Amino acid sequence: MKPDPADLQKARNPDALSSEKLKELIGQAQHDLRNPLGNILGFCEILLSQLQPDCEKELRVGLQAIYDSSHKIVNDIDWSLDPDKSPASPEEITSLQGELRQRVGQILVRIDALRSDAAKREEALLSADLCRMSDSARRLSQLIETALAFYPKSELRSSTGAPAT
Amino acid sequence: MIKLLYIEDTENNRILITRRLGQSGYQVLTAENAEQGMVMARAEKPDLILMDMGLPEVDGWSATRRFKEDPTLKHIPVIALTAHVMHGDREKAIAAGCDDYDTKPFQFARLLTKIETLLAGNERSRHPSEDAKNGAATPKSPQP
Repeated sequence: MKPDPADLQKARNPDALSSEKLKELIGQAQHDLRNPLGNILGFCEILLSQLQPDCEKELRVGLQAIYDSSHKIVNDIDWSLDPDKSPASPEEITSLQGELRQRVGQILVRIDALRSDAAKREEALLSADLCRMSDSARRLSQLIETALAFYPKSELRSSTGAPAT
Repeated sequence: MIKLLYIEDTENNRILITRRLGQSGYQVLTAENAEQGMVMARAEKPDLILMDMGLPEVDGWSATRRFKEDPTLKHIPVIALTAHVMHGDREKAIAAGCDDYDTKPFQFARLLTKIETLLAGNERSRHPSEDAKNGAATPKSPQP
C-alpha cells in the first residue's frame, strides 16, 4: 500500500499530520523495508542449509556476512521505526538512511561477488537464488529513499557524506 | 502428504516458503491473490492456509473473513503472515478469523511449530472420538 501523496505533502509540515497518520506511515515504511530484507535472509538460510560442512568456505563466509548484516538492519529498522514508540526525529531518520545506504551497498557488493563466482562455476541454481537476493537488495536501496519520503528533510548529512535526501 | 496453501503476492516469498516447507515434507500450493486462493482452496481442500495480509485488492483480513464465512472452508486453520509488527496487528488478524499470526522475516522453526500445533488441534477437533480412542495422540506430521 503506497502512502497517499496528500499525506506525504502534509507530512512535510508535521503539524498538519495527525499522530495517528504519522504512526500509520511509519508502520508502512517499516513493513516495506522489512519485506526485501526477509527475502535476503530467507534465501541466505536456504543456501547455507544446503552447503556441505567442509567445502565452499568462501560462499559460506559470504552468505553468513550477508545474513548477519541483513539481520542487523532489521533490528535497526525495528528500533528506529517502531510505530508504537515516539516517532524518530528527522535527524535520526537521515542518520538511519545514511547507515542503511552504506550497509545495503556492502550487501550488494557481496552478493554480486558471489554471483560472479557462481556464474564462473556455472552453478545455475545458486546463481538464480543470488540473483533474487540481488534484486531484493536493489529494491531495498530504492526503498531507503522512498519509504521515508514523508519525513521532513533534515539539514544533517548522512554518514556516507551524501546530502540528506 | 499434508497440503498447505500459501496466498502471497510476492514471488520471492512464495519461492521461499515453498522450498523451506517443502524441505520439511509439506506439499505447498501457492496463489497470488485472494480470488485465486479461494478457487484453489475449494478445489484442493488444503489442511492449512498461510495468508499474507498485505495482498493487493482483497487484503488478507477480508480474504480470511470470506474463508471463515464459507461452510466448506471455515474449518481450515489460517495463519496470518505479515511484515507489519504494529501493536494490535495480531489482535486484528485474530478478529478477522485467523487462527494464528506470524511476522516476516520468516523464522521457519517458529512457523513450523505454529503449523504443527494448528494441524494437530484441527485433527483433534474433527475426529474427537478417534482421538479419545488413541489416547489423544497427535497426528503424524512432517519432520521439521
